[in-house]
Amino acid sequence: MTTLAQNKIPLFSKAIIAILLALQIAPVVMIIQTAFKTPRSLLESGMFTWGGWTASNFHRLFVEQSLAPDLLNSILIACGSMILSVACGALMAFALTRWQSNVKKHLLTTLLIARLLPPVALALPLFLVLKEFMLHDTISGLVLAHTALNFPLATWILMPFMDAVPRVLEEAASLDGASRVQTFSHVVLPVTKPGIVVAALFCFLMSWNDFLFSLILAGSQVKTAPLTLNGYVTGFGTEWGPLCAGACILLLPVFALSFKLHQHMIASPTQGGVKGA
Amino acid sequence: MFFARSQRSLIIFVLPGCALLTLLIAWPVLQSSVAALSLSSGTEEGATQFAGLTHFKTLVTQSSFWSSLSLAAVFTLTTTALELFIASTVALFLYFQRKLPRIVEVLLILPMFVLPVVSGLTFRYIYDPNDGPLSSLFNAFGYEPMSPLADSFWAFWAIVLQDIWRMWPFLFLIIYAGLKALPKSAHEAAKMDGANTRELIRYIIFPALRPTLAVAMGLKVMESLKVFTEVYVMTGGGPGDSTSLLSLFVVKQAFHFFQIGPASAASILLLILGMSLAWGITRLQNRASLAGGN
Repeated sequence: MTTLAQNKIPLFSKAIIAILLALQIAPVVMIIQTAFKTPRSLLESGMFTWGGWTASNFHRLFVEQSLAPDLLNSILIACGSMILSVACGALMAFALTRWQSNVKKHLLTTLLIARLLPPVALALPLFLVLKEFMLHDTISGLVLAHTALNFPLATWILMPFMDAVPRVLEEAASLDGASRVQTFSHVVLPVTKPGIVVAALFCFLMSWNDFLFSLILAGSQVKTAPLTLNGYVTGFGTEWGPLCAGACILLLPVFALSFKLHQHMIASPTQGGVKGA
Repeated sequence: MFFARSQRSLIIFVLPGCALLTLLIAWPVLQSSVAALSLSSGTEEGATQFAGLTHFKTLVTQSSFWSSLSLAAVFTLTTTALELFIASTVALFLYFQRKLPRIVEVLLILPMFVLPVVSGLTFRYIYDPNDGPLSSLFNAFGYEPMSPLADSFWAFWAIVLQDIWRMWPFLFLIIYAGLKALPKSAHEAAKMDGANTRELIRYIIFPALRPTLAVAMGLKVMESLKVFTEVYVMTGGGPGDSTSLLSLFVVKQAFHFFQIGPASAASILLLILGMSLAWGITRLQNRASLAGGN
């Protein structure tokens, strides 16, 4: 009988969990609700009145405000830096798990520190260097900047996956005459595909979420969607309808991926926030 | 020979990564160190002159630098303490429950995934004096709507609240995972000996969880140092300098006042602070994994 009783979550606990859940998702629900409100019902104020559904905010966002080009910039930059980060990260992770040398330890520490550094401290130095190469305010400049910040993360995520590849496979390949590079591309990469997907998704999100680098390293010729969204805030009253609609669009890929990434976020103390496999 | 023969072919694998690290992290940092130590503004062409610590001196004589530093410290302390408390309470609470459906867990940590810019704008909307939900709530109860972000006292706490909403799930994940990794046998033994839940937490769980808590704290301190976007979007550092954290100070110096020298000096200081913290965290993590926290 006691086991039966323990199988149920008590009402009190249920209530606490419900309150916690409500607090956590209320702001998000509010954003979605405002995005679909008509401007008039927005003026009549409130979260308690409901004037009906409308898609006019989204329409205005793309037709009047032309968010589309900036959204495209965001997607291009996120994809570009994702590919570069994962490519460099996979190579690096492979070498680091196979290497027996002192350099390995130093590289590992460098990568970890690079991953933890505050981006603000890097923003100004990067600005000065990108300006020198005429890469400021370009898509490629932002791709490079995001890659510098994200590839240590990709390396870190991929290392356990690379480590898990049985060495026997590689030895077999090298006995068959395959070079290190061939072994990597034909044996190791296919086996570590799940890890590569996770690393890629994380890198995409990191770049998609970025505001600081777009603000400082670009912003006049090349704008990303988060920057544009912030531009809708004015001193003379903000139109929250279109802004929330834009926020919904930005949140869409993030939430879609969060279900997939949640199981990899189960943080372990040794890996600091992200755990692979 | 530096490497064994079989290892040498691995060098080409690290080359792209090392190139990125050198070109986009090490070199820029070196450049801005030069800018911090020389008299030419760094963006202009021309002979640079060694200036010694002039820019650092300008920096430490500015009261806004010290206020941003202390604001960052207070922000870090309050958010870390509050979030650590909330996260460990919720983690312990859920630990003693039966397993929750995965959707509940995902929804609970959902704010963590929200883009910083959206999180900032959302809270700006909540606090908006004209059509924000907070003001309609005030109206509904017959109070005069207030505008927390325009008040130099409340603006800071408005930012703290935003950070709590978004970041406690991050600490929760770390602590919850640490809890679940604890050996069950010690708990059962303690229960067998007649320990109640409070004693179990105090004498068995807490000591075993300490390394995990230390790592969570370290990572959170690091994250607080990184906070920029949310605050920039919500208040832009204002009103006055009341929410101008160290990160906002650096950006303002560089891109509003074009003080490249002092801004580079501040960047370098922030970098040194970040690097020493990061180094400390790696030490903590090593200790945590040695203690079997994972």
